[in-house]
Amino acid sequence: MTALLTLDRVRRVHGETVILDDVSFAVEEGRFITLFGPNGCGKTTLMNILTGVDTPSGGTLHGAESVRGHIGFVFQDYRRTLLPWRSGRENILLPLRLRGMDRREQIRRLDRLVAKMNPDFDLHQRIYTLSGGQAQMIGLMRALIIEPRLLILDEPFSALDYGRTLAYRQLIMTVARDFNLTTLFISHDLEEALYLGDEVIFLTAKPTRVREVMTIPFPRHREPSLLGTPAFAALKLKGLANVELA
Amino acid sequence: MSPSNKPNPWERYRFVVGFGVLLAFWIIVVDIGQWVSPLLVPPLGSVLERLGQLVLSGELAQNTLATLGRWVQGFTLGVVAGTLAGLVLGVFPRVYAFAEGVIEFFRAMPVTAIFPLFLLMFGIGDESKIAMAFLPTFLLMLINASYGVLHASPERRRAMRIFGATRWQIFRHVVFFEALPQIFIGLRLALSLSLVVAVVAEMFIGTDTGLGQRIYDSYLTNSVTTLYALLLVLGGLGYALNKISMAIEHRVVDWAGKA
Ligand SMILES: Nc1ncnc2c1ncn2[C@@H]1O[C@H](COP(=O)(O)OP(=O)(O)O)[C@@H](O)[C@H]1O
Ligand SMILES: [Mg+2]
Repeated sequence: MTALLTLDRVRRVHGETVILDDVSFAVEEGRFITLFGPNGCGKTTLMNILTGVDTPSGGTLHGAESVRGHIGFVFQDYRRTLLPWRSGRENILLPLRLRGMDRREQIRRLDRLVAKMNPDFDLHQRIYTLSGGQAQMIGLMRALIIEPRLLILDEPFSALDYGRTLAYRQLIMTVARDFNLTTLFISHDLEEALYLGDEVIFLTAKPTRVREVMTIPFPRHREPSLLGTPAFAALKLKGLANVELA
Repeated sequence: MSPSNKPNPWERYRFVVGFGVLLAFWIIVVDIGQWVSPLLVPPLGSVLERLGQLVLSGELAQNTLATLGRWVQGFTLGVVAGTLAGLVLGVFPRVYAFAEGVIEFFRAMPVTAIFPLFLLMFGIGDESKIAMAFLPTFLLMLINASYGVLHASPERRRAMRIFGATRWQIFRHVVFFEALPQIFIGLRLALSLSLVVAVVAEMFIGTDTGLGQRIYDSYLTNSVTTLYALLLVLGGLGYALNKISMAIEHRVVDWAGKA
């Protein structure tokens, strides 16, 4: 397997405060990686560095240059990252529009995506008329429309209720498989991180380092019933050893 | 926007009912009761009669158009220039920091006090009145547009950068829209204030047309009925302009406050 992206001793300092101290890991092609860490440990900061919105204070990124422009991003706060003055449809098309893609090609892509994702609501609606789950569906489709090589999801379900979270986990797993994606999923929920990942990267609290990388033994496609099995409980116990009690 | 979804049949007629009560009160107190001197408040009947004469003679249309013409020029120029300047200042916060004190200085100054200076600068013709409608509009639009840009959500800008947007694209697709509700707040404030100033400016030297001029003239010639007739017209005009701007606002920024 080849690494799509490698972080080598990445550091980020704001004035006197060290946010990221020393973060190194590799994202191999086709893998589903979950990044688990406490609130405020710098997960979002790290994603800003990967996407080029922020620059590291030290360390190196390999492969970032070539993957940039092919990153689909799903945000934690969909309400504040979608554009309420546009319809759902126009929100999805926005990344293509920014690239100056031909309008007919944009629509072809959208039709293909809609056929795959099957949203059960009208995409012509304004964002503020949508429920949280529907809005995040728009957010997900906006990330997928560019046909990304890397999909990053930054705590995408933290504002959804449990039932909807379960449904969206299934959707994300299906999407990652069907679109053949390399996925980086950020979470502060241990169950979610273990359930989704091929690999879970545990981060410490600030100043942040990689504490542990756990490989998850379950096959790729998983069902919620897995959560009740002794094997999952055993895994969770192992994971708990890497959680700092705050 | 009302909390209950059931439309109240009276809601549509609130304005009519409220105004009807006021006019009925006027008729009872002045026309019928004659408890107030007609030199201060003339009977409604004679005011309406006078209004009819002003309409038929074409005098009203001529003066209304004169006022509106000057106001529209000053207001439109002020909206365009003020909004553009405000957007630019908002995009360059460091420049804004320098300009802020100057803007606050002019904002704090009562605009009407500038009129004599404008008479010197632009002469006693229309230009000085247009400038008077322009100035408060320009300042209010500048302040509100720059405020809107400066307080645009950093989250959406970050998202746009992740999508690879250029600075101009971020402005055009996000920052401008984020500033739009605030721009409309400026527009509403500027509308009322500039109309006040435009009418007041007409009361001084240099014009022989305009509602402000006719109102002041009727005071000088002691024609109280004309004065009242013109006040009714001016009130209606301000009310209509406000309603129009609110209707436009609801259409354009229907998402404001809901995101
Ligand atoms: N511009 C900044 N200056 C100083 N500290 C910052 C700045 N931006 C973020 N931080 C701090 O960096 C830490 C990491 O933030 P973030 O990446 O959002 O964490 P996470 O996504 O893991 O919850 C937080 O403690 C935050 O207070
Ligand atoms: Mg975060």
